[in-house]
Amino acid sequence: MRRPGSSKRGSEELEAWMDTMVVLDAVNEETAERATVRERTALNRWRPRWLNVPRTTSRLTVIIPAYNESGSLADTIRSLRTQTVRPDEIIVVDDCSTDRTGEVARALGVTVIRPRANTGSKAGAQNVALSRVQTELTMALDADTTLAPDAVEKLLAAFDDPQAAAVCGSVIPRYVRTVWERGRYIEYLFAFTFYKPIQDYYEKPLISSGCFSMYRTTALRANGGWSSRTMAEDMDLTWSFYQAGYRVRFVPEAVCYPIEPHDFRFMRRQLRRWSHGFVQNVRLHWRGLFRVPYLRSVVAVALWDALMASFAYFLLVPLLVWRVSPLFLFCYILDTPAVLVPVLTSAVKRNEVRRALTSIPAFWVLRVVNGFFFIKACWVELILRRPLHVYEKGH
Amino acid sequence: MNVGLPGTGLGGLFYLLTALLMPLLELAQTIRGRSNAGRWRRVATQCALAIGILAGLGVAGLALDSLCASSIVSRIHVSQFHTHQPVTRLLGMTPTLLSLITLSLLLAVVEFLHLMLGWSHRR
Repeated sequence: MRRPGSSKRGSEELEAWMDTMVVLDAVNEETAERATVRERTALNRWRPRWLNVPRTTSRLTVIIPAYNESGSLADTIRSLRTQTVRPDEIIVVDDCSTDRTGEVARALGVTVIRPRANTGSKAGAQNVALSRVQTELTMALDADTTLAPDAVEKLLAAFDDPQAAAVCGSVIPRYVRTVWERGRYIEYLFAFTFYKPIQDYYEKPLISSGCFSMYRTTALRANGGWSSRTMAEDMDLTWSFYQAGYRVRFVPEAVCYPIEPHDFRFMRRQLRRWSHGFVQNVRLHWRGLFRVPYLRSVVAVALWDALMASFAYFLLVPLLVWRVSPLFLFCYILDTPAVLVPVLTSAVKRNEVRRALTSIPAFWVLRVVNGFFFIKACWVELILRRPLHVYEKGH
Repeated sequence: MNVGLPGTGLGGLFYLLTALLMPLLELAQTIRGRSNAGRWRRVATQCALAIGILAGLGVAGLALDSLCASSIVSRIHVSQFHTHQPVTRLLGMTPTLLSLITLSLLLAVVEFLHLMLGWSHRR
C-alpha cells in the first residue's frame, strides 16, 4: 500500500485528501446543516484507493417512521451514518410520540417531521415524509432496526435494473435471548436462507420487508405511496408492484437487525398484525395475483399451508395422539431435520451454531402460536367480516 | 413465515421442487447466453440445500418408521403378517405421496382459475 506524500503526485494527492477530509468533517458534524451537493460530488469523485472513505450518495433518502422509539432510534441513525455509502438525507417522522423520540432525532442532526396528529399507522407516517423526498431512491427503515455497514451499498446495486421498483435484504433479529426472539431467529434463518433466494431466482420475492427496503421513488409515488388499507403495508406494496409490471429483488448480503418482540404480549400484537395483514392482502389482491406467474403459486401454497397447519396442530394431531398413539406428538417436530439444514448452513457462516441449535425448541413453540393467530385471523376477517384496522406495533 | 404441516407441508415441498428445477432452467438460460457464474453459484447453493433437506426428511422418515410404525401396526392388528415392513414402508411413503398429490391438485386449481379469470376478462 503506497504511502501518500511520498512523491510529487503523492503530495498533490495528500493535499486533495486534506481538502476532502475537511468536507468529510463538515458532513460528519452533528448539526442540522448538510454539506452541499457540490461538496459531496467532489468527495465522491475523488477517493484515494488507500483511504476507505465512506461515500455519500445523492440518490437516496431514508424515511424512519417512529412512534415512541427513543430507546432504539439513536442506534438506527448511527448505523446509517456509518454505512459504506451514506444516504443523502435521513427523515425521521415523529408520529406524535409521547417520549423523547423527536429530541433524540434532532440531537443527531437528521430531518424531523412531526405531523399535527398521529397518522395511525406506519404507512401513514411514511407517506408524510414521502412528499418531501427529492431523490431517485427512497429507503424505509424501522426505528428499531440497525444495518450491516454495507447494507445500503448492496441494495443500491440492484437498481441498475431499470425495472426494479423495490429491493430488500436479509433480516436477523438483533437480540436472541427470549423464547420469542429465538423462535423468530430460526424462522428468519430458514426463510432468508432457503425460501427467499428461491423466490428471488424466479423474480418473485413474496414481500419486500417493511423494516428495511429500498424503493424507486417514481414507482412508489405512482402507487400512491404506502397504503394503510391493510395491516401489512409492505406486502400490499410488493404485490401492487408486481401487478404494475415492476420487479422486486432480494439481496441476501444486505443485512438488517431489527429488535423482535421479546415477550408474548408484544409477539401477540405482531402476529395478529401479520396474520390479519396476510389475509387482508389475499382478499384485496387475489384477482390480480392470478396474473403474476409463480407468485400466484407461492401465495396459494402459503395460504393452504397456514390453514392446514392450523388444522393439523390443533385438531388432527391431538386427535391422533388421543385415539391412536402418544407418539404422534412427534408430528410437531418431525420436520426438524429438514428445517435444520438451511438454518445450520446459515448459522455456520455466522458462527452461531450453538445459538441456532438451542433456539430450535423455541421455533416449535412459535410456529404453533403462529398457527393459532392465523386461524383466528381467517375467522375474524373472512367469517365474521371484522377487519383489523388498529395498527399496534410489536413493541 | 408460513407454517408447514410437519412432514407433509406443501410449502416445503413446493420450494424443494422449484429449487431442484433451478438447474434445468439455468441451463436453458445459459444456452440463451443469459447466465453467468454468479447465477450458477446461487442455483448450486439452493439445490444443495434442497438435497440436504431431502436427506433430512429421509432421516425423519426413518424415525417415523422405527418409532411410530410398530405402535400403529399393533393397534391395527396386523400381527398375522410375517413382517410389518411393507406396511411401515407404506406408512413412510404415504405422507409424501399425499403431499405430492395435494400440491399437484392445488397448483392445477390455481392455473385453472388463472385461465378462467383471463378468459372472463377477455370476454
